[in-house]
Amino acid sequence: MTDVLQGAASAAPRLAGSDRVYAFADQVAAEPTPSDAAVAAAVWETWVTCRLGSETFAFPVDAIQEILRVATITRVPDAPHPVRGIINLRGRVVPVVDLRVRLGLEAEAPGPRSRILVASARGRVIGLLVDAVEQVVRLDRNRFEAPPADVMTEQSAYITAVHQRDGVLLILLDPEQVLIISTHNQDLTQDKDKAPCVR
Amino acid sequence: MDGFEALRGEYALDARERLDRVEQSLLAVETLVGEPRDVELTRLKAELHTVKGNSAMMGFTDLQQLAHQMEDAVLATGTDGLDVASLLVSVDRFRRRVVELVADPASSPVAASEIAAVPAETAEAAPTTQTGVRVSFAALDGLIDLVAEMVIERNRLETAIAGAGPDVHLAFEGLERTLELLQERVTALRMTPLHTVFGSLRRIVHDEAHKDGKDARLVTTGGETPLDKALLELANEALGHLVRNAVIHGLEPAAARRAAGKPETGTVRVAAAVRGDEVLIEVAEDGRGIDPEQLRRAAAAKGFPLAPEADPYEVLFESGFSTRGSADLSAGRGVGLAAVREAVLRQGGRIEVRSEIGRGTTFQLWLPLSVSIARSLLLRADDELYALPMALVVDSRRLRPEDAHDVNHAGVIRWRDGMLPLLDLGCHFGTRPRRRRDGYVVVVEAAGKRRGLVADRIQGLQEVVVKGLDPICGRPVGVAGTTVLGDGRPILILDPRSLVDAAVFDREEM
Amino acid sequence: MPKKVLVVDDSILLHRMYELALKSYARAEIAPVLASDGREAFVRLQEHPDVVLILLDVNMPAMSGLEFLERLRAEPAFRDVRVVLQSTEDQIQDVRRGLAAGAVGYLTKPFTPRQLHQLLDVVLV
Repeated sequence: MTDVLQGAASAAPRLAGSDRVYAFADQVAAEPTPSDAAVAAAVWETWVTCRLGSETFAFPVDAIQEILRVATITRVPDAPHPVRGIINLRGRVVPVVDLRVRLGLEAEAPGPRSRILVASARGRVIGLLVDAVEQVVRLDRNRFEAPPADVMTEQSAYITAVHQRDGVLLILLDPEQVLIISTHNQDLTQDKDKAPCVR
Repeated sequence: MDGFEALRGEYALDARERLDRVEQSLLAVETLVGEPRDVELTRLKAELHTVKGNSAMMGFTDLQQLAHQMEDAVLATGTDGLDVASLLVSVDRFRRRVVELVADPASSPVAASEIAAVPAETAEAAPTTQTGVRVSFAALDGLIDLVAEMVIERNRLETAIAGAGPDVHLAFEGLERTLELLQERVTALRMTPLHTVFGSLRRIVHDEAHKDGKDARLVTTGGETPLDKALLELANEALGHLVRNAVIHGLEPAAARRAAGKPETGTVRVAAAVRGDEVLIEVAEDGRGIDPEQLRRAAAAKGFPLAPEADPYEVLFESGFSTRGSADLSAGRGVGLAAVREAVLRQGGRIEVRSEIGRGTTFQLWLPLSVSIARSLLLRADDELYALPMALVVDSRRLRPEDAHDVNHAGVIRWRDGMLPLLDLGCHFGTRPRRRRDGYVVVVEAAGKRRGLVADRIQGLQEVVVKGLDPICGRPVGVAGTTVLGDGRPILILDPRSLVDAAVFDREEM
Repeated sequence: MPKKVLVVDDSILLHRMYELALKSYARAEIAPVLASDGREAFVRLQEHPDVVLILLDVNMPAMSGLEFLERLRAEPAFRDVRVVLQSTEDQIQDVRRGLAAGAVGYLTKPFTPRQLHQLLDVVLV
């Protein structure tokens, strides 16, 4: 399994003079060929997988514009909790959402494999901070399953489906839903990073 | 000298304006009868007559002939129809030819019939300017800079004359008033009234209605609402798109409207107004409205099924959801509401939509009142950098522990003849629990109130390009926007207006 | 001392054209004074009582050239200022009336700077 789960980050060549890391669609790892006739009816879709802690998530490749290494993220005070801050993307100021926090996981400091997925949805461009980007895969839509009932809560509208692949459960996310951050998601109004100010 | 060659530019400006008026008159004449119609026809004739004369003066015989033909067509109108459609085509041809003549000084007159007819969209879509001098943005920004410099000098002068006699202070006040006026006027130079955009919208409604076999009219209000010239092109594109959509998708054909008990002529209403530091432009039509269920179905069909609580109207801004035939309309320049919204967001604006089935749809376009480059102080406070626009900065000085006092749990310092309340930037933005005792104070003034903003130090003074802050970040108090420094770091731009009011204690309650 | 010539025309473009043509006149230095309509023209005349020639567009919408001319003639201070009408070829009736009301000449559009100069040779005092 490890040969399939190669980090796209390490495999992709670096562009000279920039710290952008691209995930290439031509590095798509193909589905292991099923032996039955179902292959003829397969509906192939291309997804980008990424890791948060021990879970693997995926986004449709069309929604991901590019993948960045984590550079300076300027904090925005009083921003909803999942919003880490802002970054500069070629002159454009783009907000960064910590996907861990957004999905209800514990926040953690970015590690060496952390990346920012620049997602384009709802006409806007927003960065998603993840622990690692894995690779670009082709999945057969026919094999998507509804998420198990215990995973879904009212806030989990961002989960489109799940997909079992080589023993790994891929949780397929809807970028547009991920980017809806409303005040009734978790405790978003309190900026936990901020030290309370006393006279 | 032989002729008026040197005045091609002026001729072009004049011609453009007159042609715009001719176009508006033609569109108006179509809907009028009786005396108002005659008045409009007279106006039309007079403009064409003048255009003819001016073209003759310049030696542009082809344009002179074209204007003459148009004038004849209008003169020959009896009580029945004026061939507005073909006159509009002539207007476009005229415009195109004017552009050619200005671009290529060597071009000589051709036969009037040879002036190419091209679709209006690809004709030089320069925003209509009023008669007068043309100034580049760079030159304007230069002026605005100079005025900002004067503000700094004024501040220095104010400190320097502190001990001087009353007549010196009087003179200073006079200078201050003049400077304020100058600031206002120079900033106002960047503004242009929205009605310059409205003119082209009328044409769009007319053309689209014709193409679609519908009956539509455009009603506009708030034409005097100012818009920063830098946003003119964006506003033109966005509004053009929205208005086109309104006619094509929003309005029903006459028969359907009749059946629904609506007037046969559909109305597209464009209303503009200033709201705070933004301009709101609404494009509303009384058409069929948008069925959210239909949007959900469309989204599902494209493979993006919506969650029950998701806003279905957002589907409209989905990249795959482009308007019918938009390729030929925008000449490949950027199609679909998604692109429009992205362009608007990038400039610090936003687009929203509301709709009611059977009643109609309203799009709201919000744009910043001014797009600016602000000369700003860079302040460092606890490892964060902030940009503070100089415009509202009145003074700055070192802060020593002995300077500050605590009055009612707030820090204050003695400043000029009174006490100045302090606001520690670190405290306000949550990077430190207690106000610092050592550092720098920058005094800002807004709406008659003053506040001393406390930081570690003043890192420098520089030009910053004011950019927006994506709404997903919320609207933090005291933040006006964002900018990117020379080293690539994005930082926040402070908003003195909300900082003079900011409570000092809001962090104490936890 | 430059000679002041008042141009009364509602078109800014024509103002530019007149300025160009008047300033290029070789036989005398001319200082153009500009007005957009009859009312403004009177204001200019108060500001510059030493205007020696008025170039008057017959074709103006607000106060017609003829109205202006009649009012001008009623003012003793300006009775001796020479007025030249500027018209288009189909306004011959207006030109006749203007000449009858005291204008000393007329110039039809389109005219070239040279034609204006030739007129100035004759009418400029």
